[in-house]
Parts: sequence; C-alpha cells; structure tokens
Amino acid sequence: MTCHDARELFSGLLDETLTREERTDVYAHLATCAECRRELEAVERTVALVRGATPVRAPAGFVERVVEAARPRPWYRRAARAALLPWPIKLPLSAAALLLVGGLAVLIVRGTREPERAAQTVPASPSAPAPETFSDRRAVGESAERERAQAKSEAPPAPAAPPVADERRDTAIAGRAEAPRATVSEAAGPDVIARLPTAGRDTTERELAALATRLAGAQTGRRLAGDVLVVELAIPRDRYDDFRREAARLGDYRTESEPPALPDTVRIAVHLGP
Amino acid sequence: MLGNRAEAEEIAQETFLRAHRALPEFRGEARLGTWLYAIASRLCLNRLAAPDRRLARSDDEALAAAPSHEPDAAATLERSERDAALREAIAALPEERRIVVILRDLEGLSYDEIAEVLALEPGTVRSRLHRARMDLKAKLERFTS
Repeated sequence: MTCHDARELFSGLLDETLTREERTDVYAHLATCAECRRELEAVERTVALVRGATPVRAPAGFVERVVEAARPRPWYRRAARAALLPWPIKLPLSAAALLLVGGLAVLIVRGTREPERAAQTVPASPSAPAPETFSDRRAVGESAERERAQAKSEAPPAPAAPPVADERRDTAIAGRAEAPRATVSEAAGPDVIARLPTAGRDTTERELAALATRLAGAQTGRRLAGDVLVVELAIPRDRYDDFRREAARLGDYRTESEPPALPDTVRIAVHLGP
Repeated sequence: MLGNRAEAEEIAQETFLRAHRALPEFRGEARLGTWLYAIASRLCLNRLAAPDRRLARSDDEALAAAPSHEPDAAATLERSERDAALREAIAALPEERRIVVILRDLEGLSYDEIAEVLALEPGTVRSRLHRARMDLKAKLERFTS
C-alpha cells in the first residue's frame, strides 16, 4: 500500500467504516511510515476541530413561528387580512387565483377522461414553486389569497404529500433494491422522459436545476438507477420549449417520450449517465 | 450550508412545515430525523441552485463573527476566532463536499444515512467526505498544529 492509498482511507479509518482488510492494510502501512502517522494525526485533529464547533442554535421564537405558520387560520382572520391588503398587491393576487382556478378546471375536465393522469399532474403545481414559497409569502405579507390557494392544493391528501413524498421516496429507497423504486417512479409518472449523456452527472444536475429555476420551475427529485442519475423537474408548459432548447446546450439532450398534449406543469425525468 | 442566517431560518421553517403537511404519508421507511435532513438538504440545494442566490451570501462574515456565550473572555475570544475560521473554511468548500461534511461531522449522520439523504452511493459519500476533510485540514492548519 502506497502513502496515497493509505491516506485515502484515513477518513474511513476515523469513522470506523473500513473493512477488516482495509484496516489491516492501513495499520500495516502506518507501522512503517512516520509521515503518514503524522498525517493521520492532523486529519484526526481537523475532524475533532470541526466536531467541536459551537453548535448553531435556532433563534429565539423559532418554534413559535413554525407552529404559528403551521396552524390553519380561522376564515374571519383571513378575510380581515385580505380586506386590509392594498390594491397593488390584491389585484395581481386575484389574477393569479383566477388563473389557478382556470388551471384546476382544465385539470378536472381532463381528469374525467384520464383520472390517473390528473392525479399525476395536480401535485406538480404545488411542488414547482416550492423553493420560492417563503420569499413569495414574505413579499406579500402572508396574503389570504395565497393561503387559500395553498389550502386548495393541500386539501386532497394525494397532492399535499408529493413534494416531500418525492424527496422521501428518493431518499428512503436510495441504495436499496431497484425494483420497488422503479414501481414507485412509474406511479408518480413523469410526462416527459429524456436522456442527456454526460461525464459529470452532478454538474449537469446542478445546471438542470438552475435552468428549471430560471424558467419558473424547480427540481422535484432525484434518484439513482445504476450508473444513471434520474433528475426530476417540473416546468411550466409555456416554458417547456425554452427548456428543451436550453437543455440541448448542455449536451446531446434527447426526448424519448412526450405526450401529444402537455399538462400545465410538465414533469420531466432527465436520465443523466455515461 | 447556506452561509446566510435568515435564509437558513427560512429553510428550517419550510422543512418543518413540509414535514408537518406530509407527515400522514410518512411510512417510516427512513428514520424521522433522516427524513427531515433529506427535506432540508433538498431545499438547501434547490436554493443554492437559484440564479439570484449569488447575491444572498452577503452576511457570511457576520455569521462567522457571531459571538459565543462562554464566560471566560480569553476562551471566548479564542473559540470565536476558531469558529469563525472554521465556518469560513466550510463555507469555501464546494457544495457537494460541504453538505457531506456538515451532515457527518456537525450533524452526526452515518455514511449510510448521508447516502440515503442525498441519494448517493456510500462510496461517493466516503470520497467526498475525505476531500472535504483534506480541504479543511489545509485551511485550518494553524489551529491543529
């Protein structure tokens, strides 16, 4: 074992995650190499320094704020807040609420023909703007319209869960058997499946996430399937063409399947791999 | 992870709200804590990927200089200097190394849990953690020698 090989295993040695053979090899090397012993001590001191850092505590009132934000407000308080909002805020919000109602109507109409498809599409809309939720809410002062819109999207049990459920599914199943993951993924059902061969999966994933955010969408999940990293994105339909064009700049982006009519929020699964 | 106290608080709050909403769907396949870390990590990475994010890291220094609460003045000074250097060094790590070292050495998750939270192979976790620690060792030498 060379010094380089031994040093690659120092982190694992300190965390006791090496196999018995690896540990034996490292100790055998350390017994004969004073330089590596000093290096191991330095790594150990660094890890101790990091672990000894003063823990960051939640600021005063944090728990109360979370509880307050999670508590549903009575209708009369929401109505009072709405009445007090200035028109420059109220008008765009009303317009947005109208659009949302229109979008839901389309989904419901489509749902009568394709119930399964509607079940996939509805959750995408609350998940798409997820990262912006707070800044939006802050900007308009927790508007009643927004709360109502949120309540609407949360009302049925299925749509409420997916943004987080997707994350949980990805993480809970990651690293385990592939079969159940594939089943769950099919149940969630992306609208579009595409491939983007890349040597740097993580970089390309970040570029795709940034692209989605730029186009008013968001990354909604990720999962590993062997060598392939599947990145799940939600993009508004009117930006989907922009997405395809921009994604083609990242590499040899190819659409494998795409429905004839796209939903308001298009769920895209991009397979990144060699 | 974000280098911005206000943003961190927002993400923490959003994490609990999302978990609260989706709790009925939680089937216990992962530990509750791991599930929360998964939500928080995803929210952080999404926030970091946002194009306007570059403007948001203005209070790194303020965060690094946050005083601790020890009674002894000399110890307080030494500790806050060390913490400041440490936070600065962690903030300078590439994102994918930073999140792994935070989850392992500050939050105490196991390699398997980190792999689960970030949907990575355990081998990838190990190598990223190693690189992160090597970077930190180089930057924090004056506190460890």
